[in-house]
Amino acid sequence: MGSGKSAHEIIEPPNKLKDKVKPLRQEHGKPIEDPVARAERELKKLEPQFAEWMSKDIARLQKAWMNLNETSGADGLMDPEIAAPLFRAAHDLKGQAGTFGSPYVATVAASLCMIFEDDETLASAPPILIEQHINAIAAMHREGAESGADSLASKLCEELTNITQTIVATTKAQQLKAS
Amino acid sequence: MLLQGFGIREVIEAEDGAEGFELFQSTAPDFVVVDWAMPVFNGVELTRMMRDTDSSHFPYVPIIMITGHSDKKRVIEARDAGVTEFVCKPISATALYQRIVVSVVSPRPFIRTDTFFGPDRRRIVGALAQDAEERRGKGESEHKVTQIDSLIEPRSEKSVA
Repeated sequence: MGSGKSAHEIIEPPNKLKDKVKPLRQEHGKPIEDPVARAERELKKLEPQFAEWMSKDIARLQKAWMNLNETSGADGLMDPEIAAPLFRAAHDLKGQAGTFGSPYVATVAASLCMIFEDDETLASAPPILIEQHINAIAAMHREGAESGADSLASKLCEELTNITQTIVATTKAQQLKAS
Repeated sequence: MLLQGFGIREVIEAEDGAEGFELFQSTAPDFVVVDWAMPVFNGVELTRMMRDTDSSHFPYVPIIMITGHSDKKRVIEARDAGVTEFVCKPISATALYQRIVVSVVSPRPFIRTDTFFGPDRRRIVGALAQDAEERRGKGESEHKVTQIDSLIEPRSEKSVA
């Protein structure tokens, strides 16, 4: 241990939250209710509404893309601020589709999000790639490819993700080289 | 809906990071769940505001970040902003419940240095290891699990301060 003054302070905040929590009701020494199972049942109840939410989110994605595409420069460069609503729509789809069992839509939305995660990647990505992602998401939802094995949807996910990952990796390598 | 399913009676939702901070200041929440991607202020910016001891009313509040960003740079950025626990998307009820329980049952001490204020950063590594293990157990893609695994490295609080 050094003899100098400590560079950090350790604080033990009061745990007020613990006082507010009720222990689980027990019978014969075992909890008689499972909060996780109860939460999963609540989540299950939302599933019928998911198709409607997804349709709305896809419409939001398409509208944001139209806006972004119309405002991009002649050189194809896109304004990251105008791109923000598109990222948010893709991000919402990624999270919700994953949670509600639409893995293909979640995968394509995740790939689309990667394009927007930094300005350099967005500048390197061809606009057609963004459009292909959006069209794939819309088609997967329309054709009901969101559950079970579907080889075409699976292949599309793989292809789009691979292309995006290559662009992200190339951009990062260029950034490293420049720095 | 998940939170209510856990038995949490009052859940207050915000549309964006700015509204989130207003509600945080006025409602004294027991804990906060933030998403990384939010309009106005993102989850990391909001976390920094909530941890700012000069302006925040409740700088010790547990903050659980839900994120699809499992790349190392972003996780470290969030951790250094003062996030208490992480849950990677897609969200599972089990993972979220465990993070809340950990925040209640065994909260971490807070550390203050010249450059950091927040919960001890070392234990977040354990939480990520647990997440990776759960996902592996559920047969999630090895790519995703490896991404989470890659975030796990032993770090000393002093070494990052």
